[in-house]
Amino acid sequence: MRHILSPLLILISLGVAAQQSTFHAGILPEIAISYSLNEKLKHTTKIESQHETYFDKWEYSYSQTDFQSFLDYRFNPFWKGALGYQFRLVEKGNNAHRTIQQIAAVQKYSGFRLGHRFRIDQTFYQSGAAVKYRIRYRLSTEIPLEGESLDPGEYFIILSDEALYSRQDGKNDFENRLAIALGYFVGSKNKLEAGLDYRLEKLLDRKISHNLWLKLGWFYTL
Amino acid sequence: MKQSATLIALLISVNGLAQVKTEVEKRIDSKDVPQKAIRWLNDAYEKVDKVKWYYEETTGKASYEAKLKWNNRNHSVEFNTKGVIEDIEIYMDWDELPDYVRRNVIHYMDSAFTKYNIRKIQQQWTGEPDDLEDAIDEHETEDITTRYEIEFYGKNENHNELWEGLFDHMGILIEQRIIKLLPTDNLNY
Repeated sequence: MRHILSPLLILISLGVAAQQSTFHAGILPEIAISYSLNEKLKHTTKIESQHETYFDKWEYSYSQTDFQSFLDYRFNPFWKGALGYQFRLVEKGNNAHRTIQQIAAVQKYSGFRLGHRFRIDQTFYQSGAAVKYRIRYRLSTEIPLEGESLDPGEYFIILSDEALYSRQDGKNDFENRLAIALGYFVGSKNKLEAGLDYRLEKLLDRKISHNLWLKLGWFYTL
Repeated sequence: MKQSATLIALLISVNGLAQVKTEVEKRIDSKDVPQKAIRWLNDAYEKVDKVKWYYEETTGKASYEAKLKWNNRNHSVEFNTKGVIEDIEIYMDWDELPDYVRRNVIHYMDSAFTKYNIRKIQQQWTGEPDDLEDAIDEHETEDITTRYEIEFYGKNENHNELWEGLFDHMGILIEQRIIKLLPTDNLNY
């Protein structure tokens, strides 16, 4: 794990130093609970909260919480489509509503699984700011650490990279999210994950924003 | 009428055989494997380079499995908990199956599913330990039983699933079960 994290931190430092940029870090806990309505439909509720930390002053502040709800349709064992809604509760009061549409696919290989997620979303701000439109693609892989398939009571690594393009009020932006986490499959319904999520925001701006989050996730299937 | 009756019978058998496969598999060290299994493997696969050992439980039944590469093919060799060989599975491509096996498998798929896609094929050998050893090191396959384990996606009126089917040496279905994929929530959300 240390071998993977060290180059990542070096890259971040070089990136921050090389240009006019900002750096944010913090903790990003998330909980997702899913339950099947029937053979084809599933509902997923997810809560994700951002807590920013300032290492230079050793301070901490709550940033925002996202409440998400998805209705998931299974086309076949590999492809699923989902419609979702998110309410973002922001500390400074600029709350937002988001509508989400996504298609996700999983590819099963001997020794790992690949996940593809194509998503578009539209964000509506309570402040009256222009609607933000985003299109995004995430590639992720789940690698069991104790055999060729993941079984209850086993650890796994999950790696993902997501590219996001957004447009708001005539202005384009591009973002990349790279994440690595160590996971534990508890029973046959719980997955716990802990890892790092490195986000490069405002890539089309002169002032790139670097964000490093300690991500803690709990995925529960009822 | 006869065709409809055959189709109904096939669909009933698809429903009847729609068991769910549950499997647990864990990588283990060769020192945790019964010596009898190691001895058989070394006799049959002489000077094999690299063997990965796994402990498996399939629908409550425990076994040991060795995975290795032999003559450029992936072999899985399964032993019971006493170290006695149970079967050998060899990965194959669709084009490598005998014509009559392909014909029978396609006939079954066409009759039982409106849409299907074959994903993985393993030739399965069972028999006495000595005969299986001869099949590996002397290519003598007369005294062993050959079957085909085929993983496929199949959709019909009642099911839209990933399946594992066991077909006999002629390509006639013996049994099949649904493969349940693990939850994908962490990959989707």
